[in-house]
Amino acid sequence: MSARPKTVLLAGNPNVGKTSLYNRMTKSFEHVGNWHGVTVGAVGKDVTHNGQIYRVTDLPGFYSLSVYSPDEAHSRDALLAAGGMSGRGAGAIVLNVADANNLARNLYLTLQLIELGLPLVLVVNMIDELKKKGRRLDDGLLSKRLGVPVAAVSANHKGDAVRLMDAVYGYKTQTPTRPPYLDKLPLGGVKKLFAGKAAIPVHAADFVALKLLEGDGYYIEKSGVDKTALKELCGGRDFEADIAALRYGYIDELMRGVIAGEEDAAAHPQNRARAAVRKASATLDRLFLNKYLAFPLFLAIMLGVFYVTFGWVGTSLSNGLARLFTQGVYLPLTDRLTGMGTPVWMTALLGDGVVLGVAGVLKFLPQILFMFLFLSLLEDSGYLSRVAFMSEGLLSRLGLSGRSVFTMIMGFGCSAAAVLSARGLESDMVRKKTVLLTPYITCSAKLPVFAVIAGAYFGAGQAALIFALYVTGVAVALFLAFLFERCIPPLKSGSFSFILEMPAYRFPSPARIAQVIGHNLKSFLSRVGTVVFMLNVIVWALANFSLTQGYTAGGEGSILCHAAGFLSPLFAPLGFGNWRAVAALLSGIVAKEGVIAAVESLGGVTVVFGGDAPALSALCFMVFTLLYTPCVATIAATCRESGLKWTLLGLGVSAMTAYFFALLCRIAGLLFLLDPGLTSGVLLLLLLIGALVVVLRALIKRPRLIRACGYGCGACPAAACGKEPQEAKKRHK
Amino acid sequence: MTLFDVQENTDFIIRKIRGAGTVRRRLLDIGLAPGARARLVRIAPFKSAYLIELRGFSIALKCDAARLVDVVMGGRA
Repeated sequence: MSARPKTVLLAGNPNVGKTSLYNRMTKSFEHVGNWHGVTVGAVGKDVTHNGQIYRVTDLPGFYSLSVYSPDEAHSRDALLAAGGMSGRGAGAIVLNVADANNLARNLYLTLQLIELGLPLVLVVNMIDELKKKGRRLDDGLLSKRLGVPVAAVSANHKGDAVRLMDAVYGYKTQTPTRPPYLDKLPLGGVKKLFAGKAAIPVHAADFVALKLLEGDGYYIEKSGVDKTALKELCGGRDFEADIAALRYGYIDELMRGVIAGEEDAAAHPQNRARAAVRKASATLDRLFLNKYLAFPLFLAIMLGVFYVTFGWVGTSLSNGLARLFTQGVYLPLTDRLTGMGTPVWMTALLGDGVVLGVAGVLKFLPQILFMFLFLSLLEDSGYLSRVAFMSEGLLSRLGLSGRSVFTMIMGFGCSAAAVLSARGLESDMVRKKTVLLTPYITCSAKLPVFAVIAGAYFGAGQAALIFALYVTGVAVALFLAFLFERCIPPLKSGSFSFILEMPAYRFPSPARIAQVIGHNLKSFLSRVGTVVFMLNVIVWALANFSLTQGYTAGGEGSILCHAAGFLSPLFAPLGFGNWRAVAALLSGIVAKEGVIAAVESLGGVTVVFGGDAPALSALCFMVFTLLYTPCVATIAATCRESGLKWTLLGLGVSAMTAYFFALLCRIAGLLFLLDPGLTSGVLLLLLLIGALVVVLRALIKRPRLIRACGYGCGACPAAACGKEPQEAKKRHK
Repeated sequence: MTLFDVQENTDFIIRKIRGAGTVRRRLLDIGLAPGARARLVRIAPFKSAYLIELRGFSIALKCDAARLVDVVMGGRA
């Protein structure tokens, strides 16, 4: 009996539901979303089916085996290995996941997998959506034409994962139908070029020959063929375009009659529903992609998100939770402990250190959940892709891509997770810059810090102030992007292109919402329970014990007082040059919640922000917290995504930015306290002059649109597109 | 003419993809092969990006990619 395949690879175009199927098959909870490129690295898990163990691996989505970005290269390498082209992994079976709604385009990848000679099962996902539209898939016909087993499934049905595993279990080696276009191409000649030069298995020879004709540099290098000989063979014919056209031509043949119900659809009652859906989608696009309304709408949506999170809805929930902790846990616990005659330091550790510190973070659970819920709604509905499309013009001027919007908006949730999502970005420079700038977007862990401090000093203006801090974070990120692009030549983005699939609008299901809430609840609680808890105990212990005196009950003379006091003069110009504030900032490097937990366990805001202008000190402290060093998880992620050099650069930039803006805030604040009228007058005047300059510049010098060469060659300067410059035309023949 | 000069809400047929390198390959791979019928749905502000409908799905292209697409007008997608 032949050995059954043990490795199962999930491969397919982006946003076809590979991860949803993977989650079903392996009972996992990997992140899914309604946009291109949610999965950025391969994830795998073992599954036992009918007594056989399978290693199921979910690969990042890609359109073709000629790749474009690092996450796609990952998928290509895994598939080439499976095809016996390199290393281990041969004998894998590939589940090629396709979207039933876009079958034609998905088959383009399927054909390449067939060319590569991989053991293949074509999985047509989202079959339920197709049925809802009143159409049917003739999977038998498609299977017969392709010579590949076809399984029509839906990731929404639990049972379909089992059917899929059955298909893998029952897979018998079969030879797919040889695509007829292969014989229309001079593959034999190409094969002679690499014969004997590289270890290419016989079954993949056609595939490699095709890729060489297409002129894919990766395969040219790998096969070691002579480039001039290859060029000669091509004889000036544009094989790249021809092969694409041949594949799509064959796909049109394959698809004939495979999806039924398109013609007789008009009579079908369900079709009216389908027309209504299409119409709704078009209406939404008219609104969200409207030239004038798109940006105001986006701002309104974000404002709404912040209003619910920080307005009375979120705040009253958080306050209720806080009351519950104080009255339900803190007071009874300390009473009980004191009654039992526990040592004072023990009561203080458990009461102030542990309960108050942890509760100080924990009470923000409702607000943090709101934030994550809204983010996932924006993501799942398909709206974020529209934002990316509309903001491309603005962001490309700042040297970023429209797709940076995904990463940056995810940064409102968790910077470390958001940084990973940058991997799908096409240009290396843009990707690194996006990674560097995402931590300036206020993450949900900074939310408790702002809420507590602003609540203590700014009372009624609290919500407005927090919103202003969020806006400052975004503004600083965009300002830095502008600075990098315009003033530091080595950090300028080259020209790159942006090709983004626009997902259909989808209404998030209740199950999905429950999953998002459950997942974030679990991760937040476990963070608070481990990292924040440990940090609190350590900070409290260091702050309340001295090497010489033992328990100090207030902190003067404690270990932390000496250690942090060493750094505190540095922060004196910013108005919070005391050891408690510095200690809070230091613990914030471990986790941002640590800042407020430390402040609470070191005696609360009133003790930390003393001096003659406590409110101003607190404000500068918040500005500093907003911009300074990201947490270790984010630093580690940055290092993984962009390398050590960029990470160090990022750390330097964030330290300087934080210090600079906090100092600016301090100076403006001191002037304001000195003479409120004059200072606000001057500030307003400066703002007006600034706005005037911007407007005048825009009016006088019509935006210089002429620079990009329009060939996407990478050598020409990045800029918006306008009229094509003659010079670039010359350079490109 | 290129896709760059097409008006919103018009149908066109792809004639040729110009340029070289990865951008061109991606355009071909995603389905903008010669002969394909498509429709320009929306142009983003500053003419910075183009949203087209092709083979029943939508893709956004940056303006410089749009310049690479030679088109002829006409043909319902």
